[in-house]
Amino acid sequence: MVVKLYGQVTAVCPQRVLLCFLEKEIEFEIVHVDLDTLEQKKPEHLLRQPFGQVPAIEDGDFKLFESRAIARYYATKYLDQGTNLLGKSLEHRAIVDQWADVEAHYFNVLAFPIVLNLLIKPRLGEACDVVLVEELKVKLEVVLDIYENRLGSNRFLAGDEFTMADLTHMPAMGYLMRTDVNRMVKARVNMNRWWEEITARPAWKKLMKMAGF
Amino acid sequence: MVLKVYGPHFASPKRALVTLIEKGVAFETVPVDLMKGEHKQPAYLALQPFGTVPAVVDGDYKIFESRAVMRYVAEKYRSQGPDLLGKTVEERGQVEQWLDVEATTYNPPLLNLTLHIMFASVMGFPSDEKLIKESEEKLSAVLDVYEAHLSKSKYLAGDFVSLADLAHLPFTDYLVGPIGKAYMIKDRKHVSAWWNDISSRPAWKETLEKYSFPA
Repeated sequence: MVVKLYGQVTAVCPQRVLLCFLEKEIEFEIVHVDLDTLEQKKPEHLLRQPFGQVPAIEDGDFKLFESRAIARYYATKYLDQGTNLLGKSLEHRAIVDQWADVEAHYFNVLAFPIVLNLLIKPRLGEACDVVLVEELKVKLEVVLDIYENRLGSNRFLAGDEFTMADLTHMPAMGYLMRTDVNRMVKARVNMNRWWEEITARPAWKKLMKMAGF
Repeated sequence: MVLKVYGPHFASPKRALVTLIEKGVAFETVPVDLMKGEHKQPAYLALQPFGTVPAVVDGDYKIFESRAVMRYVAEKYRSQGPDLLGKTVEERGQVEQWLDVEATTYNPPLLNLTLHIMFASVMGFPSDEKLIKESEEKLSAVLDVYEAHLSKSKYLAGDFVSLADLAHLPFTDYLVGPIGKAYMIKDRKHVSAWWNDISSRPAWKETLEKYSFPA
């Protein structure tokens, strides 16, 4: 039986899981949950994800939500298949966790509302909060400086190899790079080098194709 | 050389401290004076480039982000103390799920309440009443989901206490104490029972006894 992913292929959090599946060569099926019509808030989906968000997975009898937890689960379960996303030793694995947590706490908190205001709201006919976006950009510059420094002495966020730490950033970064924020990344030599390298990966290209880009 | 935890008096580092105590791991603490801006000084930024607490140094090894530290300690000392990660890959998946819920959904509104009710005057910014109201509403909706879940599950990830439960301790302790909103927990039967259970664990009591913010 193939794992079912409930979500929308263009949405950031489901993409995080899809990218993990693609890197690990895990077969999957997408069951579309339509965010534009708020299907994620309806009773049927709330049974899968009680907070009314995507994604959720069903793998036989096993169910899970929270995209980062799902990605970690599959990266662990299929450790020996496809790309090793977890790191090689306990110490390395903890550094992978560290930078994956940084994504959630320092990067996503800024990237998500920027993408929401600059890309999603216009599509839904809602007003963009311009003042908020400018405030967020100032904070993002500070955070990106820390990444720039890190990537100056490390090829990838957790060291020499591509791991979950890099993967988890990619969906939101992919959308950020479609806004004028891409100037902030391109202006930073190491970040630019890192972004070019990780987006050249076949799994990313497949994901972008699936999402219609 | 003994593992060191920086910033023990603050809430986030207590996630690491309670895990270390649960697992019976020896450690030392190093105070960080946030009021004096010590966390923005080069010496601290070398340990934690975002200038927040905790940072952990274990010999030559450095690690930050409180939940990453919890995972590291729980893995490294898997064979001693309670197994906070679950026994199977699937149980671990549930632990990770609720640890992520705590980080992405539970803690953000609670952090707003913490900053605006407990620390606004001391940190010198105006307390935002509208944000406080919205954050309480958001947290209340999250706690309703917890109430339904905990009516079917003794602890968050199943019938065993895990990192997911422990991660909630420090800021929920603020919620029922200095934030003054204990009713949010106590008015929910199953959340209340879960809170009483996890907050009366000896490791948490020891954490509060030794590392509470000096009055």
